[in-house]
Amino acid sequence: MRFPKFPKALKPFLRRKESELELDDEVRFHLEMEARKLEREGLASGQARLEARRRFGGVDRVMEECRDQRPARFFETLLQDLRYGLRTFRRNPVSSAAAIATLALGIGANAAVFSVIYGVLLSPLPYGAGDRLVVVRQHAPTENQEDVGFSPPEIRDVQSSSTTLQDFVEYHRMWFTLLGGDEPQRVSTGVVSHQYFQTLGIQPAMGRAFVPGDEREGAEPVLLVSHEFWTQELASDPEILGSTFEMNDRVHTVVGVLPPLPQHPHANDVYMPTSACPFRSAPRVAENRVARGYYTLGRLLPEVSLEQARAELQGLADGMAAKNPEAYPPSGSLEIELEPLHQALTKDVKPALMLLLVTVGLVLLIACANVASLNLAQLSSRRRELVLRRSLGAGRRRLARQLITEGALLGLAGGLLGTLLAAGAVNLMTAFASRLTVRAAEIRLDPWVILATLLLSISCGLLLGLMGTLQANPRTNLGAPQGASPRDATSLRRWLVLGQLAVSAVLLVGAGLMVRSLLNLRGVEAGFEAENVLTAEVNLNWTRYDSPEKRLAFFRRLLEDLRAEPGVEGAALTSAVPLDGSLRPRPILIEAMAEDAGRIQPMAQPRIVTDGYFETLGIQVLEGRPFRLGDDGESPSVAILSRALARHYWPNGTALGQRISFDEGATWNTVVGIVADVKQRSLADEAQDEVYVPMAQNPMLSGRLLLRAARRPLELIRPVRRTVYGIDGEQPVVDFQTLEQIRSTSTEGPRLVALLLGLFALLALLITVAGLTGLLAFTVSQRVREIGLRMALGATPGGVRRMVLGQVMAITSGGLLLGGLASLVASYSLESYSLGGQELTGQLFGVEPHDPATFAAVGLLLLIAAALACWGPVRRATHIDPMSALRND
Amino acid sequence: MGPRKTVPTKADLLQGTLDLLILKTLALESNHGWGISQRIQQISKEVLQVNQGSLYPALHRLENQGWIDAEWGQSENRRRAKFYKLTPEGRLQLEKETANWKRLTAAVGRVLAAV
Repeated sequence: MRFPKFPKALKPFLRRKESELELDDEVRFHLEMEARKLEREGLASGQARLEARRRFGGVDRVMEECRDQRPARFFETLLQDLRYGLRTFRRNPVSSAAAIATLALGIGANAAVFSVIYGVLLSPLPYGAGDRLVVVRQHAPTENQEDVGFSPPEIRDVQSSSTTLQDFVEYHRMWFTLLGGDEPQRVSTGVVSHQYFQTLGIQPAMGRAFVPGDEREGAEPVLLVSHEFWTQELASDPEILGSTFEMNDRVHTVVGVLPPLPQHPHANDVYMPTSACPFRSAPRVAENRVARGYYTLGRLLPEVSLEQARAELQGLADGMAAKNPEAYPPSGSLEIELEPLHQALTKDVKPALMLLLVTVGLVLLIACANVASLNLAQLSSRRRELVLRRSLGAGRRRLARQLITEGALLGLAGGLLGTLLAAGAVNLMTAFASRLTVRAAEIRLDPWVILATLLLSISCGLLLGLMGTLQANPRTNLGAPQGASPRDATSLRRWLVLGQLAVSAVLLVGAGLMVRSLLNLRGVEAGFEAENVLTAEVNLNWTRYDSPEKRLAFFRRLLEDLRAEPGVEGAALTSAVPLDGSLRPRPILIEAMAEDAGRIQPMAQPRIVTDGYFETLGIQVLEGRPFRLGDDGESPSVAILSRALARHYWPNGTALGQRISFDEGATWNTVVGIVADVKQRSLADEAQDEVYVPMAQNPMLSGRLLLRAARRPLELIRPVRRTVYGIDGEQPVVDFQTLEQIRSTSTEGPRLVALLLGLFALLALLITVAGLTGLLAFTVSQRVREIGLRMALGATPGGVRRMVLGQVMAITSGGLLLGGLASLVASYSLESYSLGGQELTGQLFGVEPHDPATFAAVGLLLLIAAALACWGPVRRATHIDPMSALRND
Repeated sequence: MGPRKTVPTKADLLQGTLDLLILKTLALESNHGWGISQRIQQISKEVLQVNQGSLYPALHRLENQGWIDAEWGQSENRRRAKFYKLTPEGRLQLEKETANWKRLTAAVGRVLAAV
């Protein structure tokens, strides 16, 4: 078909009225001419007219066919359908509003989850060459150690020899005291290779980044300041470049300020090159091939694949082991692992997000089923209208298109409203996701998300419309009574409700399993008694407590005074509280194994504690003794190991009396006790190797106070403050928390997920119950006559009730059965399905996917819900007055 | 859409054939819809009775395809009527369709004449 000339094609569309009049005139002219001709042939004028009409055929139909020839006809009819649809909605405002609201909830929830998924999983990293960045790790599987980190010589080797990595950089974090501001400050410091920020693609907002010269041995120390630190602590001083601060007895010059981009891997206050860190640049670390533990990142060259780079680095590692066998395990070199940075940041949260996506998808399905049911209910009352249109000449396809258009309109309206809802909830979503991943900052209502949501809404709408067309096949029988029950529509609605019940069952089982694992998690033995313990942070002032003796004196006095307070059953100090996740393993040297040179250094999480620590926390001493007041600067250095560490390196025999070193053999600590394991990082993880040293031999500048209270720990806050100020009126004590609070923060992630799943499952149930109630009310109203007849013939209210309930129970049990089967299938298939390396049932803790208690509880819940749903309609049914029912035809 | 049979005609016309007849009629002279149907009847000596119901959809279709042009003018009895005329593209189309028709009828004739 040749395409018509443009203006001509548009004319009927733009000037429709004119075209209509013209068509009208044309046909009228024809009829007149024909009538006149017939008159000339002898017919009377009236008869001539009739005959002319008859010969012409159905005038309306012909005109409609002429209209169909117009090229823009499709859009004309679409507009008509849209206007008609809007009118239909206005005629049933309540029902339409209910449908749109239901859809809005379902689609809104989906839009919210889309945003989270897009921001966290799909959007690119905010770093320059984000997709080329990899985390590089070394493992020692033969020594049973993972992620041992790199040592400075190894880092230098890789930097100079790698052909696949454009950059290879290191990072570690230290806490130093910054002098030169109004007050001395403890600052978190990122110690990095000079090209660290270049590798990440981060340009300084002010000044310059580090240059190779900054990292040279003996170079003048320089600092890069983070954006947050610059705005919060330095008052956004525009003259900050060139200012100096004193750290670690050296003068550091500020050379740049970083932009407000998310920092990796931690948010630090300042950054310095490796040569400025006194520990890192000391020869016994910088030249020591065995001094591992540094975190490293690499940037792949443009054409290089991950596997190529991994193979090359492995080759380098093997080469290093061959050249320096004394620094490597006897079994050979270390194993290199490369992981894309994006994956490293998201893999923990991916399974949870996928689970959420599936959940909201199912909720939407249930919502759509409700709307479909509403539509079907309406359809039976629209039967007359459709039959009429059919007889006036509307094609079946045209009617179907009308219904589909209405569905799409509904979907679009619900989608727009839902998108608005989701937009309003972005802050909520970000708050939720930030507990699970650092990528939460990237969450926003992206154009892609909006597009996806709109597509979803329109698809839902189209689907709903299609469902309507399945039922709207009216026979041209205008004689059908107005209230005739469309049997097929009702049975379809029954199946819909059955499906809804099944899906609700699946969601409820899922949520139930998550809740149970959460409860199991919280019940895990953490290794210490968290009840009634208060903690607080005490950071001593650098200038006032500038010697270890002064610090020790303060803390000693603090503990003495606190122990004398009424209501305090125990007091101690520690460098880190269990379960706050703050410790990282450090390498230690074991005397007995020091001769086995080249082995991978044992790693342990070190903790400085005072006497009374184990007693206050209720940690069992398994062998030997806890720290005493006698363990001080005059007596031999001692240490206490956790059971895991002792078992690890002294599987046969005892570790008591053995000696270990924290400074490569410069000083040695004797092991005097073994204590029970304590969960440090998270309740779900295995216990880590831990080692304790007494504060009296390692006076620290800051520590966390631990107080066991006789009654309520929060009541001790005032006495603690009073005591501290009594010793030093200017010493702040901050961050009061109970151990129980810290413990529940550690389960926050699983708690949030379980909460959301539970909410969605309940929402689904609510929608399903609403649908069930609607269906039942409809059925009852349809069968008023029948019920009235039954009652007139002797049926008792009990019998009627049984009849209605019987129906409900049939549907509910069907739904439960289907749902139960579906849940089993889902959980078992999830068990064998891993999402990007993370098994989904890793989310479940201590509960089987087929946990019978959960299934039983869900079944009960659904039965109760169904019973509640039919309470109203059953009442109505039993209260039907047979006389009035039979009278109303 | 095929023609609707409301009044039985002496000969059933296929849509393509109707188009051909319309184009030819307009090639002879411009006309309005009614005139076209009368003309076809007249020239074919009453054999071809155009189904009036299918005439106007055909005219509109041909107009959209660009083979005929329409203009409002005055008819013989001073009434306003829509006059159609052939366009250059329509003329080309007419030649093509005529050739096709001749080929078709020749072929049918050969089959019928086969012994």
